[in-house]
Amino acid sequence: MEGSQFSVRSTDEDFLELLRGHLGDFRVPDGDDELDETIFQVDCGTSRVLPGGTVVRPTANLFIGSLRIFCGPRWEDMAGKLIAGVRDLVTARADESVRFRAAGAVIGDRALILPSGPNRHLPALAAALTRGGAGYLGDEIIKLDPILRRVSGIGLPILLDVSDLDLFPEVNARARRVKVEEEGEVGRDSRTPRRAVPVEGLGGHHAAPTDLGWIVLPVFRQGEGTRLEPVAGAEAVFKLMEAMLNAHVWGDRALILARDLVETVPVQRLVIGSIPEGAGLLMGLDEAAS
Amino acid sequence: MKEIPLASTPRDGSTEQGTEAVPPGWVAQDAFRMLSMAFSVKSEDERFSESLRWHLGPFLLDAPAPASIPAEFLATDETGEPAYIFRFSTHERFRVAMLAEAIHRTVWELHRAVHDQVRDFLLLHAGAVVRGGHALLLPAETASGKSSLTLGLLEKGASYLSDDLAALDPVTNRVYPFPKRIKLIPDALEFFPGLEERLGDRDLPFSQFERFVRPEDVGASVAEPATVKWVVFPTSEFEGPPVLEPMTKAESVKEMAANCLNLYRFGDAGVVLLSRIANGAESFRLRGGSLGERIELLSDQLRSRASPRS
Repeated sequence: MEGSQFSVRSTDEDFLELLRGHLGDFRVPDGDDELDETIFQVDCGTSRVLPGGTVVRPTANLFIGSLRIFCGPRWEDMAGKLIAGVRDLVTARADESVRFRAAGAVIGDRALILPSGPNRHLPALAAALTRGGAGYLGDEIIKLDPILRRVSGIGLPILLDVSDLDLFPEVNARARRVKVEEEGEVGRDSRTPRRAVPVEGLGGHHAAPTDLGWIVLPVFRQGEGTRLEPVAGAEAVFKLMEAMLNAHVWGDRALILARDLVETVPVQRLVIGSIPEGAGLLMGLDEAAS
Repeated sequence: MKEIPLASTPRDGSTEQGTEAVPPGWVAQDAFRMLSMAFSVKSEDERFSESLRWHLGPFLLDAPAPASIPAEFLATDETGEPAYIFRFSTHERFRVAMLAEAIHRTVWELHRAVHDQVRDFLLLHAGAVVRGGHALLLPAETASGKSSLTLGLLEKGASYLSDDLAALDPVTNRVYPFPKRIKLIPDALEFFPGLEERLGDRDLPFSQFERFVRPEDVGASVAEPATVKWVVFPTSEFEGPPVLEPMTKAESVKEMAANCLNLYRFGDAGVVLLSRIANGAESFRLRGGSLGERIELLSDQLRSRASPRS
């Protein structure tokens, strides 16, 4: 993918089958010897049968090289973590683009980006837009071509936070198998379990690179009224810089680009009390502009 | 808009300033940054490190930049014969018996790595100087006299960007400095009377066939990033008097694309960037004339075309 290659080794064929459902399009028979290869290793563990016949589900472990990045009982969570690792891997060196921590979607014929700090609800907003008919670009990372100002995604599934799965009843049962008590497990954003949801499963599609049309800065405030607000130019530049993932590479030019974007593209803040309402407001941007 | 310096600003440092705390078992460790390619070189040979610090002086850092690529220079005689090994990003790049060849190859490998590693600039195989605040690009093939022409223009009052690699910024369309040492074949020194005595490359632990010139050796300095105003393609036709033939913008884009080192990374967007450069510049093909005559012609043209303001 995107000039990077990786392989996945697993102690259980069934886990690879689960993964192929999400990453099958990127599978190749042979790797490229010229490219460095990252190896994901999956130890699915072994079930134990306790006296009395109770089966204890094993703890699975996921490693990048020798570094463990996941430990837990649910394969779906592990698949989400692995796909997040793949996403980071394939975008980490894409410095010909400016990378933002942002959701992205195509509404009409223009791209909307939603730059944000780390927030577990951002993929749900991208998913709601996709379900609403927008083309899908990205849930947490998007790339901006600094020459053409075109936004592109990576082509991976949406990694929905488990606490947002209830918003998407059409997502298949396996991905939705979440216990109620898991709500209490949601801690720091980086530790939040994610479930991979195919864009097609929401009735959507992956969009081709598209010219940037709108920048909206999302703020999640549960219980507040969902609304679009104006935002000052300086604050917008600051927020864009905060969300830029490779500003260290672009240096002073990152700031020049951020300022230029704010001067040439409409920028608003979206206060989100409800994700479906937020998506609804965003879907109306195209009509409002016309 | 006022320029904001990069987080890790390269400087032309001395050997004392650039040396980091050396890890056990190594004799030297130095950090560098060439455009956005940061790397750190650990060495088992002080003569190598001293030479590398001189050759890459403009890119020397006080401390390693984040995400620096590791490089190692090993000196070994395991087989009874001396061998010098260079590893970059864990890959062995060469193994040679002569130290002079090792430093030559290392400098070459590191400059070559810039093409692969740097993704935030469109890289053009070109000399580049600044006159009156505007940049002149000299895109051409290897051994076409780019370095000599660049050096000659520096002697005539231009500021230095590079003799070999023009770094075009996709955001601002400006060309950024890549102020490597200007590399000349020894015969080229005859065109620059008095220069050889001023060169510092012979003070290194060992000499090399090629000669290396710093812009300060000819009284020039490194320029700030600049907008391209002229693109001149030197040809290898030296018959007759020197002539600057105007080129169409389309021809200019085509020729620049042919001299791009990483156009594949940018694809059609890279061609758009080259079109923007060509749109804002005058383009010429330089035919005929000796090196001295070409320098005179270009210098005169730059002087007359540069705006009074800059």
